[in-house]
Amino acid sequence: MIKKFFVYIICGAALLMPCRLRILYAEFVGWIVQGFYFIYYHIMKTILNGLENGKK
Amino acid sequence: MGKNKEAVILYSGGTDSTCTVFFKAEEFDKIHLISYKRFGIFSAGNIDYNVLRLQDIFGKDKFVRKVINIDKIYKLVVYDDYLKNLFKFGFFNLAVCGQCKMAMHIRTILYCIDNKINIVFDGANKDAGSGIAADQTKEVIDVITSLYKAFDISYSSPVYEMNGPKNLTWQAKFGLIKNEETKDVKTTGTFLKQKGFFDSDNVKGSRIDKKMQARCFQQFLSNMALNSYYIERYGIEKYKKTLRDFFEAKSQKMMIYIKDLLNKNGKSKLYLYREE
Repeated sequence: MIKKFFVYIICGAALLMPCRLRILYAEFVGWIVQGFYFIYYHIMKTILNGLENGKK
Repeated sequence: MGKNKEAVILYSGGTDSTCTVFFKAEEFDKIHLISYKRFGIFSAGNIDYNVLRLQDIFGKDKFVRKVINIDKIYKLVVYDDYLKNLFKFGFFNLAVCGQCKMAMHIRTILYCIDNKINIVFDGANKDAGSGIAADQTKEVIDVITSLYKAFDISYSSPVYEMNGPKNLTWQAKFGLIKNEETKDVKTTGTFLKQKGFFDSDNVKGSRIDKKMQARCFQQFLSNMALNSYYIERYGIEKYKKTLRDFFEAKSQKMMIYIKDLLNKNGKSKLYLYREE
């Protein structure tokens, strides 16, 4: 239900946009998703480096 | 196949289309390496990274290199008959990659007609996007093949049936292990590694991959609406069938516009879009 809500709000809005605005909006959403991934990646990388240095 | 022939390859700079070049370069005298750009495709210059390497291997004379803007054709593909498509296909109108690729194919058809070339290849692969990529499923490829056929152009992907790479494990992503394929698996990556073109079996998603391809994040909307929501709700079969119907409808309209253009009909919408 929550997923459906988010899909209809986020993607439904895009369906009503003109070409360039939709492209910019899609890029913006893409960067947010990537942002979460980058944060996760760098936190994990830092933890793993810390563990590896501790082991040494 | 005799030589003295020319072919077009839709070249993205990635592993699959580079592998296509390796497969077809010796078969043809001249290969037209065509890449496309539009508003929203960033760092298109990255594609030249591998073009220069290919020129070193096969010779500069082997390739004709073009980067063509498809802004207006893309807009036509997405927004033609929009209201009708919106009610009929809903979220499928957000299938950015499929519609962008269709714009590229339409421009390729025009390029082929202008240059009297009747053979086109690309790097489409059955396993791209876990087998549900809107531009590379069998259903959409069949529609595109028919579109080319209507203009006596043969279109295929020599790497279509090759295995897709296994997904990068989290250990590989963090650089703890190398992500190599098992020996029985033949991917475009393993082929290029054998040829000495890459150091690794699977460069997809890596830093080197980002250096050699244009960047575009617009697929997240369709990933969210179609791959995540629609497929979960209606199943993969209905997704593929609707995808086919959606692109078939687009293809039929585009075919009319191209034919109008070739018949010098001033009403063809492509008259406005050809010169970019």
